[in-house]
Amino acid sequence: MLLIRRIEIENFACFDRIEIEPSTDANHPLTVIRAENGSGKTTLLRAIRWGMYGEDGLPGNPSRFSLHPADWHPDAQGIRSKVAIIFETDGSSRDEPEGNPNNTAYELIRTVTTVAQKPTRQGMPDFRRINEHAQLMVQTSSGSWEPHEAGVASVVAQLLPGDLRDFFVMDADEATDFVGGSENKVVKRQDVIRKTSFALRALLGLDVFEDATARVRRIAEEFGRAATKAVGDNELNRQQTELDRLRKDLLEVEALADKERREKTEIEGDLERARDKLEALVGSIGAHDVLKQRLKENRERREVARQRRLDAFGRLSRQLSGIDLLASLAVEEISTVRDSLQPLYDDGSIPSRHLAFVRGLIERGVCVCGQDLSGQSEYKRHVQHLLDKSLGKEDVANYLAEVLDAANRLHQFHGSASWERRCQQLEREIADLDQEIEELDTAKREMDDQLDEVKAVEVQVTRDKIAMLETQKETIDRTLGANEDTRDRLRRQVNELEGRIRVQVRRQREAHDHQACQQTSTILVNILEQAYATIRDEQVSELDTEMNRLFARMAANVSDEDIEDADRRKATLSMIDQVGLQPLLGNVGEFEIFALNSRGRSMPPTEINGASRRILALSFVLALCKVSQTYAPLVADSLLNFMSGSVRTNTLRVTAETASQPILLLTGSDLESQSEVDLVTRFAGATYTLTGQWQHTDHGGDVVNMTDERRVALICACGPRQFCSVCERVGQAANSGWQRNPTGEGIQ
Amino acid sequence: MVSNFERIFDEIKREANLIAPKYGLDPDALVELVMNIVDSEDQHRIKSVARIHQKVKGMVQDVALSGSDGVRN
Repeated sequence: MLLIRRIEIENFACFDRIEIEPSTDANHPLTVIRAENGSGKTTLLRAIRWGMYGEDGLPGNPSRFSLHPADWHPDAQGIRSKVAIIFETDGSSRDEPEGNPNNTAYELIRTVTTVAQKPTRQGMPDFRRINEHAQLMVQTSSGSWEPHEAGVASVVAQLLPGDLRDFFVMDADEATDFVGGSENKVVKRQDVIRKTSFALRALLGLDVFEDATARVRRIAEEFGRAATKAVGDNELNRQQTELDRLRKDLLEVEALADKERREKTEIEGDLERARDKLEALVGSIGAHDVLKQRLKENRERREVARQRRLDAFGRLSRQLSGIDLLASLAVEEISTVRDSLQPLYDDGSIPSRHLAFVRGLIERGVCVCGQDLSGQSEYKRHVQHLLDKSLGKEDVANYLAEVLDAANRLHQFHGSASWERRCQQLEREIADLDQEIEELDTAKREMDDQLDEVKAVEVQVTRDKIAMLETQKETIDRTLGANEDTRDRLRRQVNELEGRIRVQVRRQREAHDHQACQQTSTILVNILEQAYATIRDEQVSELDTEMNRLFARMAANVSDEDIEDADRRKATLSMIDQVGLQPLLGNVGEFEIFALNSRGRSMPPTEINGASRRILALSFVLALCKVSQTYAPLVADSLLNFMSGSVRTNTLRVTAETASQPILLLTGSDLESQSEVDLVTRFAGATYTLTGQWQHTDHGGDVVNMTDERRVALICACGPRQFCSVCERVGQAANSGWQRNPTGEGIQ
Repeated sequence: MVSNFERIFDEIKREANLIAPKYGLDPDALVELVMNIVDSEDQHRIKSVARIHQKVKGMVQDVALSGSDGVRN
C-alpha cells in the first residue's frame, strides 16, 4: 500500500510555493483539488510526475519543457526548483503480504537549478537545467529523517514504476491512450495494446512470471546440455572393469611379494640361527683350546708340586737322618743333659751374655751401676777381677748352652709335629693336583672326542646350510625385487585409473545432478506456467467482469443486479453494452480493451465519445487495481471533463469508492451539481482550490482579489461551493449556493 | 510494483501441491523456491540484480541437490 501524505512544490512553473496534504483517511480517501481551466492543475500533475520520475516524468521533449517560474527570466544566477513528496508504505511484499504494523514514511526531494543559456539555433530554449538532484529520506522510529540506503530510483521503481506513471498519475487525455486515444489524438492500436498489456502484466505480476519462466526454462536447458555432455555409463564401465583387473593383479602380486617376504624372513632367521650355531661351534673350539691350556698349566703345576714334595722329602730326610739316628741312640742321655742344663740356663748361669758389655763399661771407667771407676782403682780392680773370674766360665757356659740347645732341638725334633704337618700338606697338594690333572685329562679326552666329531660333521653341515640359505636369500631377493617392481607399476596404474574413474564418476555425478536440476527446473517451469495461465485467465476474466461492472456503473449508474440482467442492461446502456479485456489471439501476454455495442459489434475508439473513452480507461485502471490488490494513489487531471451530469457524478462516486487514494484535479464545473458536492462531502478528506493570479479581473479573468502581484497560482483549502479571499471569483459571494470558507484563508 | 502477491502465492502453492506428489517432492520447499525465483525476478526488473541468472540457477541447484532437507523427500 502506498499513500501520499504531503506534496511541496517550490519555484515550479506557476507555483511559487504550495503545499498539499492529500487525505490518508480510509473512510474519506478522496482529495479534491479544484481549479478552473488554466489555473495550474496540469502543472501540479507534472510537478508530481517530475518529483517522482525526474526528466522522464515531463511530457514531450523534456529539455524544452520549462520548470522554472513563469515570471522568472533566465539569468546566470539561476533559480532552484524543488518538489518534495512525502509518502508512506506498509512495506508489504510477496514475502510479507501483510506488511508492517507501522507504515514507513519516505520523503522524496528532487531539486534542479535552471540557468540561462544562449540558444544556438532557432527554437532552442534560452535556459538549461543543471544540478538535478534527488534524495530519498526515510523516517526513523524516533521521527527523525535519514537518507535511505537504497536510493531514489529503486524505491520509486518498486512502488510506482515509471512505465506506469500514466496509470497512476494520469492526465485524462493520456488515460484515453488505453482505449485508442481521442478524436484529436489517435493512438496506434499496437501502442494501445502495448500500453494496456504492460499495465496489466505489471500489476498482475504476469511479466515477472514470464521472466521467471523464461529464465528457469533456460536454466533447465542448460542443465540438460550439461547432463548430455557428461560421460556415458559404457566408458565408465570399461574403465571400472580395467580397474578391477588391475586391482586383482595387484592383489596377486602383493600376496606373492608378501609370501616371498615371509620366506625371506624365514630364510634370514634360519641363516641367523645357522650362523649363530657356527659361531657357537667355532666358539667351542676356542673353549677346547682354553681347556688344553689349563691342562697344560695344571700339569706344569703338578710337576712343580711333585718336585717340591720330592725336594721336601729329600731335604727333611737328609736333615733328620742324622738327628734321628743320634736321637734314637741317646735319647735318654739327651734327656738327662737337657734336664741338667735347663735349670742352669733358666737361672742365668749359662751363658754370661752380659760380660762383654760389662767389660766395655770398665774399659771406659764406668761401672754397671754408673759409678765412675777412673778415680777408684781398687773398686775398678775388684770389678776387673770379677770379670776375669767370670771369663773362664764363659766358654764353659757357652758350651753348655750349645749342648742345651742341641738337646732341646733333639728333643724337639724327636716329636716333629710341624714336619709331619708339612709333609701331609705337600702330600695333599700333590693329591689335589693329581686329581685335577686327572679331571683335566678326562675333560680333555671328552672334548677331544667331541671336537673330533663336531669338526668333522656339524661345522661343515652348518656351513653348507649357510651357503644354501644365502643362495636361497639371493634368489628370493631377486624375485621379491621383481615382484615389488611389478607391484609398484600396478599401483601406479591403479592410481592413475582410479583418478580417471574419479573424474568420470564426478562428471557422471554431475550429470546426474544436472539431470536432477533439470527435472526440478522443468517442474518449476510447469508450476510457473500453470500458475501464470491460471492467473492470466482467471484474473483477466475477473478484470473483465470488474471493468464491465465499473463501466456500467459510471456510464449509466447500472447496479450490480442490473448488470446480470441483459435486457435491463441493454436498455440502460444504449450505446456501449459491454466492455472488457480480451487476450490477443496468438500473442500470449497481450491484451486489448474492447467495447461492444448492444448488437455485439466491436466499437472502434473513434466511434466512442470522449466521456465514454475516459470512463472506459478509468474502469480499466480501477478494475485492474482492484483485481491485483494494488493500493496506490490515483492522481487524475480533468477526469470528469466533457462528461454529462449523471456520468460525471457516477464516475466521481465510483472513483471515490474504488480507488485507494484518489486525488482528483477538477474544475468548478465538474462539481457543479449538488450530488457531486454531496459526494465530495461524503468521500473527501481534503479539498483544495488553485487560483491563478493571472485570472484576476484586471487581466480579464474573474478572480476578485489580487493576492499576489506575481503570475503565480495560489492554493487554499476551499472545497466545492466554497470561496475565500484568495479564490473568490466574481458572483460567488452573491450566489446562495456558495459559502465563504474562513479556514481557506491564508494557505498560500 | 508490489501487487497481486497473495494471488500469485496462492496459485503457485496450488500448483506446487498438485505437482509435488507426482515427483515425491516437498511442496512447501517447492513453493518457497518458486516464490524466491519470482521475487528475485521482480527485484531484477526494478533494479538490475548482478548475476541474476547464476543466482536463480544456484537456487534451483541448492534445492534440487539438497536431499532430504530440500525439495526432495
